[in-house]
Amino acid sequence: MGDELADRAFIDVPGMPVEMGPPAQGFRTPWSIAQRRFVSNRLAVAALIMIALLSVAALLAPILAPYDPTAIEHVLQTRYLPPSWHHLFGTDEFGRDELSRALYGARVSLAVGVLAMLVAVSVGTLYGAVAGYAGGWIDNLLMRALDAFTAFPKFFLILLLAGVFEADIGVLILIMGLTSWTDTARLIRSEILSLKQRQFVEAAHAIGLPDYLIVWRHLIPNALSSVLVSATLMVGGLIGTEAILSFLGIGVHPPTMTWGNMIQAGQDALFIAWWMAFFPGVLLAITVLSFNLVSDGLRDALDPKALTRRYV
Amino acid sequence: MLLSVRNLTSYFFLDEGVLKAVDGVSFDIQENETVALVGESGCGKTIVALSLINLIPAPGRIIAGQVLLSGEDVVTTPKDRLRQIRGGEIGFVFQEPGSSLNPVYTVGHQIAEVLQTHRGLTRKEADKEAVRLLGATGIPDPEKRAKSYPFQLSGGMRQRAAIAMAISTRPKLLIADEPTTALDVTVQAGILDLLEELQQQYGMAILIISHDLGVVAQIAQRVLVMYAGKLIESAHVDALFSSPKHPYAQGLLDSVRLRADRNAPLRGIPGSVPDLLRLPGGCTFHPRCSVSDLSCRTQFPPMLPLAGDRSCACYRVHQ
Repeated sequence: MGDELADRAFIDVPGMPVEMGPPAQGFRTPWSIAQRRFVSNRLAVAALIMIALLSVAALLAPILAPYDPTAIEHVLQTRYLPPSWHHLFGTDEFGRDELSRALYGARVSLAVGVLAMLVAVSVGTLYGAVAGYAGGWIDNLLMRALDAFTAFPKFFLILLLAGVFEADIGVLILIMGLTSWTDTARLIRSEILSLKQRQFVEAAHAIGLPDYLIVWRHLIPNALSSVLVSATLMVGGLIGTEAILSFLGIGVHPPTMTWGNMIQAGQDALFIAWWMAFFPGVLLAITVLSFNLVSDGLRDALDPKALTRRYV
Repeated sequence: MLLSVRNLTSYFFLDEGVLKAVDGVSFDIQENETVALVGESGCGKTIVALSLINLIPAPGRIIAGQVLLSGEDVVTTPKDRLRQIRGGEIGFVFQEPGSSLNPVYTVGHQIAEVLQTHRGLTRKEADKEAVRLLGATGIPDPEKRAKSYPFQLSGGMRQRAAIAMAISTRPKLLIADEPTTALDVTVQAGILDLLEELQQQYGMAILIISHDLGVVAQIAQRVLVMYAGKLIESAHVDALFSSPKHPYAQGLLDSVRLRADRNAPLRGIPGSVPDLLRLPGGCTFHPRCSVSDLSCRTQFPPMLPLAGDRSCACYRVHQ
């Protein structure tokens, strides 16, 4: 029904009042179309709900956690307790409640992933936008520098930097962000290269807007949908990276807990206390998978070439 | 004199060679005058228009000439001042109203942006003024339309919105590059009426670029005819339509049924527009011209005045 309304063309005849258009609520903004498509993708919605639940649980960790995640008492009686109603995820080698630790660990893992993504996306967007908009030798210089940068294996670079800088969490976020911006930069550059040929950019020049405003207000917003897709995917990847670094002992150090260093602690006790590595591992896998699924869902929902009918 | 263009020369430096899109074009526009620039597709009309606001896309460049806007040379003026001229003193309406509006912003927002840039209005004032301007261009229910995205409007309404944006700063000159070409015939007439109405209301000059002689006949006072990067005739609209002098202008008019004799056969111009990279020597029109002789092959004829405030670049006319 809505389609018919939206498709009906307006007619303006000279000398006659222009026909009234259909009511505004009959219209679909690009955003509402994307929303519809996303919502019709059950898996992506489930993944988004999962992320939301995890985020809320992480935020409310002090309220939700049944025990103090760092309290050590009667170690000999409480350590390596298997999952039970008292300790849903069991206890670790110091008798600390694993569920409480996993909740607090979620805060760090999610925060590191999201913040590092923001660093990467900001740097990448700026870099790519400048290269794509300036074009010519500036573009060439920036993109060759980027090629040189990506020639270093990213993971070894992170390992090296994390080792050199005795990483606290802030530094770790910066290191991860500053080694992950290149894909965003490439993506933004290619979007901007095609967008800047569009007539509305010429029109923006013709109304006398300065370059930085053309980039900021007219080019970047038009490129954002594809960045959103890759940024979501990136969060999953970065959470995984943080876990690997912490597992290797150069990420976030105890006593600050993350899923990565919980898994690492569990590895040592894998045969006597499988739950120590199992639960944070499952949470990590679910989280990364959820971000990937949401990213897929966004990609399909924001693709202007996808057929609307399939989803509505 | 509002605008005085002298020997404007804009070339494109391509791998294949130098493309002489605009080659030594001179003309004037008076205050409140409507001038039409006509010619076939690819003859350089749009590049003339873009040169007037010094906005030629790379690898193109203005390599010589002056564009004097109230005595100030747009070609050499510093970039900051140029930005004030663009959209401030010279408004620009593009051919495709759909693609000249940014798809991610509402129409009202985009008009407000111009007002904030050039008239220093606050966001609130600008939003209000945008609604008023949309109303002034004949869009019904402007308050609702201001909140619409470009794709939610019909082609005619988009062009009205684009015109609202162009006139929002009360420019002295409005350049309209094929403003009706992408629109239905019925909508075209409405847009032309609107331009005339706004011209009277705001007192601005209009340079309309078109290949549609019907549009030109309706709106223009003076017509400039362009062929392969050069002006070849300039005349009052009635004079041109009743007695075109240049053989190309004659051919152009013979190829449409505008003149009194509706039964006269339509005739095309033989041949096609020359490749701007490989222009014929002498008068660039001579290979297609029915009256050309040897003298036409030596050098491009100068624009020389004729009786009745018109001029023409053709050896045979001046003989």
